[in-house]
Amino acid sequence: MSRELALLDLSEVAAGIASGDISSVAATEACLERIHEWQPVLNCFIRLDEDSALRTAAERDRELARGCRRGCLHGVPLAHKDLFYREGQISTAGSLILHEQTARFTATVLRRLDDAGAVDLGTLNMSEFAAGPTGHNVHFGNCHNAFHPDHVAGGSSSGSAAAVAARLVFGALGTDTGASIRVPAAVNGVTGLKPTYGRISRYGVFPRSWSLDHVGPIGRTARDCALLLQATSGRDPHDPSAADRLPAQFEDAFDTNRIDGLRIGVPAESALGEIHPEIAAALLEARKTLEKLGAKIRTVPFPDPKPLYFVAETLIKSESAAIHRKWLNTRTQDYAAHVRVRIEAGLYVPATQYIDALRLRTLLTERFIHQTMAEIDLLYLPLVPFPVPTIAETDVEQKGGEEVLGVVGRMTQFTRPINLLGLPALSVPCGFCSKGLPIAFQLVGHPFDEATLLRAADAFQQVTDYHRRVPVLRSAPAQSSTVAR
Amino acid sequence: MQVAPNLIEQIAQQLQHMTIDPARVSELAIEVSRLNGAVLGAIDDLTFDDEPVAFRALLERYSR
Repeated sequence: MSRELALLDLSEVAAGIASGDISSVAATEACLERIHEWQPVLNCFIRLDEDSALRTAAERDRELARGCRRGCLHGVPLAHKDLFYREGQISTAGSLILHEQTARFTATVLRRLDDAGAVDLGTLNMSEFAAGPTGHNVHFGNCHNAFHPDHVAGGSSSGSAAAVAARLVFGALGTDTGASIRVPAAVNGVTGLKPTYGRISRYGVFPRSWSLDHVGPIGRTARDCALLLQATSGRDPHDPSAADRLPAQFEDAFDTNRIDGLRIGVPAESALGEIHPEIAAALLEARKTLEKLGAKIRTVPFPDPKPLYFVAETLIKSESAAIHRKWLNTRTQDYAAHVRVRIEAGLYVPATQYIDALRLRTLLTERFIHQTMAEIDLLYLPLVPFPVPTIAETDVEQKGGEEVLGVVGRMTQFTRPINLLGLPALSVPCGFCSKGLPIAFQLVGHPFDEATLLRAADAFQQVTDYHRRVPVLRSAPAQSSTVAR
Repeated sequence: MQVAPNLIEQIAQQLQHMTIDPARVSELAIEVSRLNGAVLGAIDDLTFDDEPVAFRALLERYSR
């Protein structure tokens, strides 16, 4: 029974707990059972809070017995990337530098999840300081792809996506500065939402880049992401970038599960560059499915993404350098080399260029909305344009070289520009390559229109089953590393 | 224009008060040139009225 429980979607288990058909303790035990089986292979968790999770679950069951349901996630076990602060606990941000640092306050998003009744199972592996799209981590061990442990889990929210895919947790939060929710979600066959910039508070989240960081959910389905977004969004006086908006509500979004007439824009093939044939075939098939569901597909102009990419890079590196300057000087040896080199250049970017990059962001976004988004509701884009690479193929620390850097760089070519634009974007599973690794497409929406994104993805998921495929446990690879603390 | 490696070294020492791995100096010069060039190549379209903090207002203005 407990194995079957772990296979339910977040929305199903939340409804089951609310109705009394499932206890929070049973759901938590089901997750823990799978975590113990899978952790040696995937290395998803940095810290597992087994006892406190079971205590919280029992408390949630007692609350429900008294007629008290805290919110839409009452009793649901979750875990999150290890950069959300919880007072009195350590948030490592995947680093050696913070591995003993205790948080002085709790992140707004964790408080909101507590208020919604969620059970916190622990903290999840990630790329060091959220820098890197592959999930390599020299301090806590690499996180592995849920469908094949020789392949990357994606980054930087590697543990969040792999844990949701392997059915170790019902949902997880990640952060996305250039790819870090959407790429891990894509390569692990789950659904990942980077909301509009400002939709979810960043207060109490270790920063990679204040201007480009987005907190967002990873779930098995669009509906799961909607529940997590509903529970975590809303204004926050502690976060100067948080939008002055009420929490997002999606009850109505899925009632009319139709996308009749929805206008979806697709860039001309020539504007996208090289896409691997297996990925291109899956993207075309998924597009046809959306069309069959009633969407109106039209070709739209798509700008050269390079200026967007490099302006974003200027902001990320400048802000990261400011965040890390002290440690870059005093604790150089405590960074992985491939992480340090992702930050250092920001020390040498003139302030005027940084300010102009901020000014260009607004200009480029307005231009993009006018030129690409004006006549459509959603934009349809590739996500990772080639089959999921192996951990060895993308190991910048061990191998380095232009070829490896090229593969790693191309993983974010369709995601990082969207962070600069601040627009909401969703990763949706749409197939598997010949090696059995997941393929995904990306939908991009108008500012604060996550509802349309999620509705389209939900319609797609009602008629496809890519998001339902459960990975099979394989033996641990030779380099698989740590056991959760 | 290519940034000279010795400029990187001097900024590290004089402005950032940091030591820098000599092996990284040339790599950083190339990387900084690329970022600098990307921004400088796009700024002709900016006007005095384009403020660095206008982005959030833009998202609100175009929200759905």
